[in-house]
Amino acid sequence: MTVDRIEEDTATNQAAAGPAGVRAVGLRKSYVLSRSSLGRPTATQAAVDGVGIEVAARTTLGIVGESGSGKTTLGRLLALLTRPDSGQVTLDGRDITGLRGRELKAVRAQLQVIFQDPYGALDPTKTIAHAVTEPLRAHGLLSRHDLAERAATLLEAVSLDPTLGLRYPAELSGGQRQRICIARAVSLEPSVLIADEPTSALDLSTRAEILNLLLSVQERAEQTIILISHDFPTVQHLAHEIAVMYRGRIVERGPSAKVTSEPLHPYTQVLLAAVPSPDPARQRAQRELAPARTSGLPADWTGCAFRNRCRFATEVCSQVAPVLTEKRDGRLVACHHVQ
Amino acid sequence: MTVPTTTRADSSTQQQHELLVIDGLTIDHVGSPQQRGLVRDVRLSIGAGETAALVGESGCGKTMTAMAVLGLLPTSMRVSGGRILFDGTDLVTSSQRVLRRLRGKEIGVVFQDPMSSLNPTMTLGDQIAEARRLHLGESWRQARRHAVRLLDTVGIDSAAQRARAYPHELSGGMQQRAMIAAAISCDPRLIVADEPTTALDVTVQADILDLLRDLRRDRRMAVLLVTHDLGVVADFCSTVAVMYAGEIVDRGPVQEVFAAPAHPYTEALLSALPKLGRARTYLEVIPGRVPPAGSFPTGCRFEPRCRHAVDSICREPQTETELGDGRGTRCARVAGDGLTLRGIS
Repeated sequence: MTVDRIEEDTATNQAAAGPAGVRAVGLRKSYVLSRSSLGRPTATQAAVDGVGIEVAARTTLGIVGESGSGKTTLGRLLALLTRPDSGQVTLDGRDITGLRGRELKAVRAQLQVIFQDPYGALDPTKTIAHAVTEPLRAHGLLSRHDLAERAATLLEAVSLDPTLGLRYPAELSGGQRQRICIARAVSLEPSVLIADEPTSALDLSTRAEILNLLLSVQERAEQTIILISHDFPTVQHLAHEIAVMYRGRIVERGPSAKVTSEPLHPYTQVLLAAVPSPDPARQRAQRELAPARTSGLPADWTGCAFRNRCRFATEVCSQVAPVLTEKRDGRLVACHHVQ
Repeated sequence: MTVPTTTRADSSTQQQHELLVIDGLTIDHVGSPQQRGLVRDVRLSIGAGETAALVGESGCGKTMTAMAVLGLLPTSMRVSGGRILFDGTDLVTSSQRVLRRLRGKEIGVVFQDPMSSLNPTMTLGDQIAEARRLHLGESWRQARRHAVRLLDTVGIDSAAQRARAYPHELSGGMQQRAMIAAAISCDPRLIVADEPTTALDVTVQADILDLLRDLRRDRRMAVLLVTHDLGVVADFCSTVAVMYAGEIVDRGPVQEVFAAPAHPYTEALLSALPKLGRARTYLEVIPGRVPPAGSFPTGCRFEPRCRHAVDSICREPQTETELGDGRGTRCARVAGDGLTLRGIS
């Protein structure tokens, strides 16, 4: 089974990556699509299907993929917001998958999340000062009369006017709200930040601001960042390593510059070619090279999930599911046709 | 996209009979005197079969300009100046009756979010057929048959079956294709597309843009594309107009505007993009934000955020200056002070 194979892969790489940072092995999570009249599941869909990742401490891993690829579910599994069906997540070498109660709460202080929608992530009835200090209060690290002062420090750290603390979310722009979400996420000085589409609800120039802020936050506090996005330029800009997901599995993983400049997996190639370049000359050349993007899913679940969209697909692709194996330049690729 | 030289030749020969001419369009908020000129003095023209883009951040007035073309401004907004000529007919002074005859027939529209624009209680086939029944007087039977052909044209598999499906049964990309099928059902001469691919995956976006490109070529449809994605503009459009705070500040053929911007706002937008080979470096940001409607500066509207601003010149209201070759700018420093700006490298 895939899970076992990926466990082998990651085991071989263990020595190189070292224990510090975030690792996941054989993560699997399926959701029930339909139930029988007795409530028993009759159909399930694996949102994350045997995924292993390694993020060295103080580096950024970017996870890219189309909607439905399972990247958000993977983020939730890594943030311990969803429990996996199988597999484990380790933080600095310690298995944190099955933690409960007080231990879970303690480890959550180390793993903070920034969500996509800064409009939905802030309580409209609470002031900004209340919002940014909420994690500190939840963990009993802040008394009420230090609240205003601490809120001001946190807001200053994300280059916001400290007097904004008295305002409500509705009075702020999208970019300001996302800064507040970041201030809140770093308030507990976590060692890991998981950012799920932090810029996709924002305008072009605001996106640049938030990317700069994430860079400076990481330079200052040396967090490990897991950045989930469908936007290749964003991920390529921030990440040291990129993992490309397709239908619940990682199909390619490797150093960011390599994956972007010379994608090996056919899906990564399709994805990159579809990102329009703002340079008209380059975009014209890119479009002429672009492979066919015919969509469609395979009729059955054996073999490679990408084969119906793949221009290199052959007989073997419909029979054997490719395994994520190391190809070259430290890159793992799940494809029969990549040497 | 056409090669820029041919684009220019095309547009000069069509100068006399442009399909859509927006001339000095100004939009005010009704009943609030300080919210005048939410859109001010917008000039834009599109010839048959041309593709033009309106770009800018949210709140720049690009959607409002597009809605004015469709006669679909919210009731709180009013066109207070200028004309919108569609093939000689002024849409601003036309009655609702005339507009209804044009919309859906001569002018098709594609909105950003197909799920909230399609009627959830009607099958796709009936929604597409509706326009042909109303505008061309076809029977349900004829119109439905045509709808199936259209679904096939926009690349939906087993179209006959899909025509009987409801919108929620399709993926976002398929819904957007169905929206396009409805928009082109009466062979319009102009499509207004407001962020048609923003909600979609990049691979689906590329498919939708290919589809629009084919339709433009095969049916000689003009497209007015509203977007904030400069990549989409480079991919799809021949000319671009950059909007800031309700005004067009920079315009011209896409390649030339991006290579050598004629307004500091365009320069700032281009330099805020992440670039290949410059990963993990700080991006340039535009300080401040778009002023809310009603508190626009009296001089150049971009002046408070502009790195090239000079008090003596930029505190004055800016007018648009023609630079030749279809280029225009609303920056007096570029037009008269010899300021040159960085384009995309």
